[in-house]
Amino acid sequence: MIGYKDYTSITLNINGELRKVVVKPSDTLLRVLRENLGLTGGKPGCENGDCGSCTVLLDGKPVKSCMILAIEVANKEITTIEGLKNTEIQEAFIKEGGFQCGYCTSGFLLNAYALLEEKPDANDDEMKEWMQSNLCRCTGYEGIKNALHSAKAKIKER
Amino acid sequence: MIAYDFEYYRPESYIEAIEIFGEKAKEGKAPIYYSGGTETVTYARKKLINTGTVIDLKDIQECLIFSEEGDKIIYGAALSLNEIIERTSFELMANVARKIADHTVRNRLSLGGNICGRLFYREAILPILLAEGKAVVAGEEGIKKIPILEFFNKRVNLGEGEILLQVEIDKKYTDLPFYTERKEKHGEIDYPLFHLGALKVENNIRFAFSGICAYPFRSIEIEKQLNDKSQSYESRAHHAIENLPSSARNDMFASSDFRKYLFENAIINALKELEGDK
Repeated sequence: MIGYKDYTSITLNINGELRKVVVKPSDTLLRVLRENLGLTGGKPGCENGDCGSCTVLLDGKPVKSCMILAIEVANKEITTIEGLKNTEIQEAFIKEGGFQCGYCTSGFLLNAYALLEEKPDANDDEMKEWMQSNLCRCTGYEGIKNALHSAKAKIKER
Repeated sequence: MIAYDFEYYRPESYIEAIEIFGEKAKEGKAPIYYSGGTETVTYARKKLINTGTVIDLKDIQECLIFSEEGDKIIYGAALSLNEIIERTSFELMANVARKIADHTVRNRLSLGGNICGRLFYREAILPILLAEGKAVVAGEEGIKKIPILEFFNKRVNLGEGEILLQVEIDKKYTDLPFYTERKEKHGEIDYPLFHLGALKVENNIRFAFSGICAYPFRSIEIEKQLNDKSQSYESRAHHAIENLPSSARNDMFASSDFRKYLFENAIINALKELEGDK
């Protein structure tokens, strides 16, 4: 049985890189990524699981890092927005203006990336179901929707 | 950020989990079981949960089982709602679970957490109530199977340190006609004003509800009235509202009158759908 009583050193696999970090059992993944590892792409928004601005991928699935303890994901592959450089979805968000203030963008990008990796033929209903997990306070949803369609077309050309 | 410290344990068997729970309870560490964490972490951050020990159940094999072999469906309590939605042949279960929280949260939100957590909606229990499933519970005396209507009656009946390992459903219920309706105040991603589930078993329609009262329920008395075909749909639905087991909720999301109005219409929709007039 694994047990941690206090500060402990764990290794996290983030964007294909093994990173050693000292955490408390009560530290959330979001805080560890931002404050211990300097990966500030994931944003603290509501920290209540509502807004999705802290989204990361855990073994390829989108999850809200504000609702996860860092200590429980030591054996998982974590992808943050810093790991999506030069991807079709990043280019599509730039091309289609899929952002306004940008605070929510990393969450939307990661969720959209996971969707199109899992379902390259995702239809509008599936896009809606997945993307409803994220909120954009600037209401820039049209650009985000266009970015998804644009990335979907690009991914099909792979 | 969670503003206090706790210990974290991840046992590999339910026996280990129960032992560490007992040990930590004796030390005054107010242990809690943990699975998806969606509720625990957010409640801990708001200091609505105070615990000195978190016991993660995700390494316990019995909690991770998904099986539809033979005449039973078995869902491990630590399965995420999305794992169940993607794999199950029980459409009613998938349909109800798909309306809980949002897609990303459902990648973590576990079946056991939804049923045994602090939020009173517990919507994932609706299909289990309708199919009269069983809760598989581990305690110091071993494993027992408890009919769901005993396991959940206004509240979850789990003893100190007991763990909900699995839920078991008879496969014969998976192909039956069903109806669900969920109403929210603003958008689909919100807590429900109510969530109604109905399942037609032979000539009888079973109903289970969440959100209308302070706990989810199935009421045999209400079902009797709702299945009385000598009455109109409207009159049956009206009688059901009059006989709710406790008062309809009245909160910032909806007044009890508005909730009852929507609820009555949903019952009529369910009756029309399952009695074949729609």
